[in-house]
Amino acid sequence: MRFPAIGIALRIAGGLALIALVAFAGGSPGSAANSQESAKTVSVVASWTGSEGTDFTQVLKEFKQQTGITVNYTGTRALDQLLQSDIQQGNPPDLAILPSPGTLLSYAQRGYLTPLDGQNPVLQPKLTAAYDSQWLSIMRLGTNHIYTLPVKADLQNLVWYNPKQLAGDSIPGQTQPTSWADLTSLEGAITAKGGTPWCLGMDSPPTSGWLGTDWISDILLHQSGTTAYQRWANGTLDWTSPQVKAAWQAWGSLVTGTGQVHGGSLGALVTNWADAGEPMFQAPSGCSLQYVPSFITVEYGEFTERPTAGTDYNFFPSPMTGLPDATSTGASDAWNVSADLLGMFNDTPAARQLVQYLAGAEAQGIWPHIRAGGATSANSQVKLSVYPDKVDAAIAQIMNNPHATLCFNASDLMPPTMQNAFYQGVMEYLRDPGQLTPILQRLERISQAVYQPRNAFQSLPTFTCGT
Amino acid sequence: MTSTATPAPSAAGEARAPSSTPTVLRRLRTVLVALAVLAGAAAALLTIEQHAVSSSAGEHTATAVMQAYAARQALVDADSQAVQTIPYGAGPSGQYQDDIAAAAQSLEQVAENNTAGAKGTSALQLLEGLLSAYTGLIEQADAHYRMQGGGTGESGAGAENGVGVQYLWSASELMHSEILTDGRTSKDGTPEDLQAAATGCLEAHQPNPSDQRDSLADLQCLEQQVLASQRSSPWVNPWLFAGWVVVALVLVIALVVAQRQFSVRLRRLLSSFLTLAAATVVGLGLVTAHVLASEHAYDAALSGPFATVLNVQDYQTAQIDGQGQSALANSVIGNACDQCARPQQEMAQKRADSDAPVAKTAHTALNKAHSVPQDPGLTHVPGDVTDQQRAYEADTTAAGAGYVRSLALIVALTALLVVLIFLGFRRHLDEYRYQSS
Repeated sequence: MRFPAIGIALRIAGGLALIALVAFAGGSPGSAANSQESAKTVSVVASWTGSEGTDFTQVLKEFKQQTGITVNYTGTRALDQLLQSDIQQGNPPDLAILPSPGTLLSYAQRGYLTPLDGQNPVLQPKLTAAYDSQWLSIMRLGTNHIYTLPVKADLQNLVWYNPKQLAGDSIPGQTQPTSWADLTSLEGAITAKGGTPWCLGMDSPPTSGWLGTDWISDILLHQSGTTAYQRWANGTLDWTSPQVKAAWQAWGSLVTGTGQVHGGSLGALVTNWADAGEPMFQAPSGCSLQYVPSFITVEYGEFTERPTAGTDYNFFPSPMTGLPDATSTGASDAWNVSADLLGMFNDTPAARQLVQYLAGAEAQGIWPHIRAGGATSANSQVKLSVYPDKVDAAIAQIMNNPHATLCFNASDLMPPTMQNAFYQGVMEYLRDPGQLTPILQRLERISQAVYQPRNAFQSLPTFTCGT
Repeated sequence: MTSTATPAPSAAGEARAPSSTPTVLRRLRTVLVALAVLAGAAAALLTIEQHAVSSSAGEHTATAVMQAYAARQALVDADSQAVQTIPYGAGPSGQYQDDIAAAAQSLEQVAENNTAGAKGTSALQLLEGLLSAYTGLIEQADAHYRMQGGGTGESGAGAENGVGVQYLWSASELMHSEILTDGRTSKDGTPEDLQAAATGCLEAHQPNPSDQRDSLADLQCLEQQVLASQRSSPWVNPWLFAGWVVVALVLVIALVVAQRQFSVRLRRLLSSFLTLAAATVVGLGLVTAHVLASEHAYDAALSGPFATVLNVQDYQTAQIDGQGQSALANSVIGNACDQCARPQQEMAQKRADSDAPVAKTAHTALNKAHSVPQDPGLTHVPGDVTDQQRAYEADTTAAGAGYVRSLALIVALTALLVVLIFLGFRRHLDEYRYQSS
């Protein structure tokens, strides 16, 4: 006698058992797969969020396509705090991109950073050859090794304006370096028409005040020259010296007077640097000039007025000659620059590949090519045709001019404690210019403490302008 | 006892001889045992997995979500305290210090119960850094106001202290635009609502997935999304139990087939052991159904006290924030300089104004859940958050209490089932053994 029902039941039982087995087995991935996964990822932290964060991920997207390596990118305004916390927990990111060589140097001195030109170099000479000797000097952080790579570079000493608003006024810097008189003359013309010259925003938590420190650094460079500038950045020129005091006073003469700044000093203190320029594009305009680095174009692109490069905004260099109390050594041919510099905290194959990719002309050209991306490359092989408009191309041309002397923004070169005290000092001065002497005395006391070598065998590195 | 169904000899030329009765009975017994083991294992698997999902959601993920909300409330309160006390030169109040400590503790709890994986860990690390920056700015503000001796005169709070105002503004701005952002969503506690809220919240805060933000709201979103996915896990799908019922039915049918074989081949009445085995299958089904039903109590706790806790926290947080931002706009910036920082005043006031509808929505949800009469003054909150948290914990503890006992019962019933099947077949197979000998 046959028992077909039994055969069917057996098949059903077998099928169900198979499903149960698959359900049990399907839960956990193998450890080998995990290990492979970790070899295919690289973690990066930087300060770019919002539009800048999106632009940077465009650069990373191409890397992923080329290599298959996933980049876990984290953008935060509290970059220093995050990095310190990660390092204290023994879990630093593979790569960190910081705007401050001073902070990166402190990590290099404590042994957290891997040199990119060590025994098994991450950056081969073929890649470093694309960087001008001035940039290589910055990449060395004043030491004998290359510790950093500029992922994005910015020109600092620029004054932005709305050509439509200032039509008929004499815009400085068109045929020769801007002089202090050119600027004050333009200020006077704006005031005479009932306008307010400066759009100023100092708010930028947790680094509020950086805009003022950048501006004072620029003035000191063009007032007292590269030697004084370098000494000041390296902690050997007193904060109470006549040169430093003159730079603060020159800045004060532009922004601390009544009616010079939109919203007055308190308005400037609580206005975010990124929003400060918007009244320039409104009708009637609230202010006419904005001193801010080249990356401001990203923020302009986000305004509701949607200003366009060249038509609605343009720039002229801040004064390079004829500054008040200028010495004969004032640097009329020097430019202030800044950069977001990459440092390697974990030397992994994936991190190496990403550093090499970011150093190349192809990757360096992606962000500058984005309209209103606010990025300039320090790689000399990135062609000017990459830049989407004449304004960006003009900035890149200045930055890559072999005859120009580039000086990294002094406040970014200072150790973090000094830098924070400087931020605080400029805000106090903006609110109460009468307090300049005690502010500079306090900064000098801090300087004497932070620039001391930690032991007799350690010499402090020195940053220099140019090569 | 003799059998009338003695196996016939195989006929020559037949492709395949019909099986003998002992062989048939042994095969039938094997099938029944396999099905019994499968039914028992499936019941145990279902129970274990559903308990794992429910308890992970109810105990860990829900705790992480609640603690993220608690951290948010503590931080909003800290900011509000700072804005309302520091300008008077009195320093950050004790309440501010307690709030910061409470927020840190809540974030630790989130970290302990984090089920959002690396993204959750990353958000927590970012928050740690941002909180450190925030407290630094508050300390700077305090130092400046103390240096100036506060601003309690006729001119109001901090009228002469621009830098103190800047630090306070900067701190509050960092708190609102970077640490908190807007992670508040109304919740009626259903899985669909939570899923929609979590998805909407992530889309709102991370339009580009690679653009990772560093806010508590993102952390709230991530944990809520995990919670929503756990609540809609296939393991808690009722159809899975329906699948088990199919297996049980196949087993019962096989038992009926066996009874029929005994009747047809051996001319016997029903086997009492196999009848008991069928009853055991039903018992196994009842125990499994009971376990699964009690696991759904987690779900009820999430829709009940848990949703209430979140709504109460949203409500209270919005009220506190409204007061703080209003004080920042009027007492701090307004007193320091009338009109000169109009956009900032407007921004703070806008935040304060936007808190009112949030509080109202949360209050409406609370009214709906607790049948509390409408309270236009928004002054009534049904119960303290702590009471609701206790109620939630009690519900989840009760939900998981009988799990181990029930699992042991499932194993025992499965073993009994197998034994009964063996006993049901033993006598008949023994008879054949004696006959052959």
